[in-house]
Amino acid sequence: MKKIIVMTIKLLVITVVAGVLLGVVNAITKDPIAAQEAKAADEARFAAFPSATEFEKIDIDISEDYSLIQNVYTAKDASGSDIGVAIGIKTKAYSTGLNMTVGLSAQGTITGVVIGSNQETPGLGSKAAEPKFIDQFKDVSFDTPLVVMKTGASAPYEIQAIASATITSDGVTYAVNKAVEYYTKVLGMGENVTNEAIAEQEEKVRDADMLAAFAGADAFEKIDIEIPDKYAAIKELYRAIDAQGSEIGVLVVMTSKGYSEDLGLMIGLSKDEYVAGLVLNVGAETPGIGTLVEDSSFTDQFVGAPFDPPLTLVRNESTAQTEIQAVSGATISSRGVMDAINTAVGFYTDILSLGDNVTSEAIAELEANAQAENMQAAYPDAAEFEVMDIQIPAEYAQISSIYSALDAQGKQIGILVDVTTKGRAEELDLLVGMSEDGFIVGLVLKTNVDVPWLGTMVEDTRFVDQFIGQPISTPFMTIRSTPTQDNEIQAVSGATISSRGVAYSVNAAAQFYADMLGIEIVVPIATPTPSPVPTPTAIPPERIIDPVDEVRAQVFPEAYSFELIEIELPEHYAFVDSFHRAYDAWGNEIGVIVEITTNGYYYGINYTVGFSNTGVITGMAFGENVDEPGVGDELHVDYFIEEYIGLSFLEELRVSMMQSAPPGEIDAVTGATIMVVDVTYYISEAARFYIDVIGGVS
Amino acid sequence: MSKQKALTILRNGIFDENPIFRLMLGMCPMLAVTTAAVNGIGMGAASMFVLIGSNVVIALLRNFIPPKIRIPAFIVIIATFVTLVQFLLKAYVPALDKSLGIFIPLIVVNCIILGRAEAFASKNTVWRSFVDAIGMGLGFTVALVIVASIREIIGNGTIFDIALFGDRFEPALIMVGAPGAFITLGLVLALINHISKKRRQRQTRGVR
Repeated sequence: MKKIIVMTIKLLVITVVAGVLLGVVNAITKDPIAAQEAKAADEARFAAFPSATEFEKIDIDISEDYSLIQNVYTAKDASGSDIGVAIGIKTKAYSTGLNMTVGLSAQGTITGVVIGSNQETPGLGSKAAEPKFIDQFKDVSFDTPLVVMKTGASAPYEIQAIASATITSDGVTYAVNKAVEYYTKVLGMGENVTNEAIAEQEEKVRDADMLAAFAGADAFEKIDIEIPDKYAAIKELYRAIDAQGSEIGVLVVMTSKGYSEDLGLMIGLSKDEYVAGLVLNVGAETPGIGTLVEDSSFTDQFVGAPFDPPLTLVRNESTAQTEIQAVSGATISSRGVMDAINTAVGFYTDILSLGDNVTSEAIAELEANAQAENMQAAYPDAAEFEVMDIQIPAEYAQISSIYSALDAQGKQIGILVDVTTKGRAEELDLLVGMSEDGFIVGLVLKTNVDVPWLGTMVEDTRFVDQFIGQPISTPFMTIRSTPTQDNEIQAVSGATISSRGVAYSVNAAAQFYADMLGIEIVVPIATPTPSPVPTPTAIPPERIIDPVDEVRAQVFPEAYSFELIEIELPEHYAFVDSFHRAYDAWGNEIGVIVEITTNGYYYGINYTVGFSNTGVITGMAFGENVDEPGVGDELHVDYFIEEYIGLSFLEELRVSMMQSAPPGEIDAVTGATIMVVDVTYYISEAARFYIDVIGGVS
Repeated sequence: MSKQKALTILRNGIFDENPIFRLMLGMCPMLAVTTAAVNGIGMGAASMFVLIGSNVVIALLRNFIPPKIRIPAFIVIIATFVTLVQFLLKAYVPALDKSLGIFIPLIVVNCIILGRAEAFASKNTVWRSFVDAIGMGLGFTVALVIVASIREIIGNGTIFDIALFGDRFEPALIMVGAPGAFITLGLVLALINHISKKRRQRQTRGVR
């Protein structure tokens, strides 16, 4: 006990002395350190603006659009008059980012660029500070924005990139351009720089942007309405008014997802149903990637585009006005811009229908009408809908509401179920109409804000129409090839996950209604409660495995013998090489083994999976794997295979893209996601075939 | 051990117990900073500086610190010392701070410092601990400079920022990247092990 007290006191003494020492030294050195830092910053300013004799800090609030800018100093000459500014700016570069000081003269030239603390990769990004690169900025006129050239920079505004440090070169050049933009646009290159003046100037810039975004408009009037959740990306709305004072359209101020940051957009939409203009602010997007969409050759494509049909993005030369050619190397940002415009157009068309009567109530009514319209589309024969007042059981948690569909006489003819499902990343919202005699009469996908190009593709009517007219007594299965049976739904190529999500939810709605009506589901998607394997009373005999069955025995440890099932497989089960029945030591059938060959990532892979008749995957083995090394062949690893063992195949197997998969889901192998998704998909399909066709699962 | 002469202690730090090549301590900063020979000098000097301070302080306190809590005590002392050095450099020697500044925070987690506190300073006199710190510091510096020089020459075509080859030299960038650090360290270690094995063999033969 005494020892502990002594130790505690001693450690306390050490820490207290250390703390006091640090405090004292900090107090002593605080001012000198601040002075040294100020001196270093001052030196950087003098280096960036050699002709200045004095700098004075401008005390201003820097708006979000210029968040890279750290501080602004006016440069004064010996006589005390303003000759320019020195702007401290931080830029994204290759690793840690750079602090820079940019000097800009009132004569319109860059007086110098100084790179401050530099912790970029030595030998690569750190070369940005070398005179060979940085002196290219010196005394260049900033009338023309600087561009980075990989080779052959000749004009003064062309900056030769540092070999093997292009991203850093881009970052520095972008920051210089941003500083120039701030100086010319916001500070107006003028003297009296005050917060009010800047706010006014920013207002002016904004007004100029608004006018640029709507050719022909003369004034704007804010429309003060509550914007529905569906259009949350829309921030502000203005009525565009021409010189004669008549309304010619609206200006939408909104954001959209870009490559790394949000993009800001101002979109002019004419009353005559075309895009009147577009102004883009790329904010703090990654220079050289996300910022590429700023180029007018991209944005000009939108101007004059009609509202209908919706714009589409193409990679090659655009052939129609509604086709937008993506900026090569910035497809995601291009897509972001285009989606924003389509959203704005959608909103405007909704509002236009209201005429002059644009109020929050009118928009809410519009929303209600849209819901009514969707409901009608999902159940065309119904004359009226009534909310059904029933408790939705917990296992149908994805069902949000249920309506009874009534005919003109007020007699119930079926129900309408509002159900949500997980798409690729976001939730999808569906309305499923089902008639009393057990058929699906309609399906409508409501709001869909899923990942563009992936999750949104299930909106295609060719996909949705596959469900209509089908009986609810057979659950739907999504397949990849052309369907041969009624309950087979062809997944949208490239949107398999969302397709399965839709089918899954329709099945849930169908089962709910079937239960209500007392219709028996032919192939129940049973609740997976695998009954424990009965412990054999006799001591099992020695397990002797025929060498040809070696792999089969490996994936089904309890099986003693195997027998090939002679069966003709339907076309879309071509991936199945064979099914074998598995028997235990006493000759009882205990499951099946399936051998599968699929495309894999590159060359193709084959694997063997055991399914027990209790509904559990007993094992899995990969055959000779000739797939792409480092990608497809990653799957060999044991921990991956082990994830499948013991999973129930009565439910659809799911692959999790998250860091660690929740129980019951398969964790995708980094770098081999496609493979994991594929393998899981085929195992699921084979399992269904076992359940549905071969039979014998309890 | 206690009969070692100061010179032997110094020699040990550089050769027989070189922290990088023999004790395999301080691998993390060594992999990180050896992209240029100048960095090697900077990190080595900064480490030596802190090492001297911490070794001396710990040797002074070696009878005060109870063995059971020596690790937390050492860490507090080292971290305090590093922070003090950082403050003082920043305030009064900005030029040195500019070149060593980024290495100093790295030293807190450098296991050489803790390793020497544990293995040497807590068992030896102040003077011997001081000599040990110099020896270890020099050994660390030499090792860093060797590895960094190889990487800088091959990966950047320069040594101490002096260009060695003409413009037509295409540097092997991998060498200044993380892989280059491991490759160089591995090869240098192999070479040193080979040499010392040969020497040992010769010595044994000589005895016979």
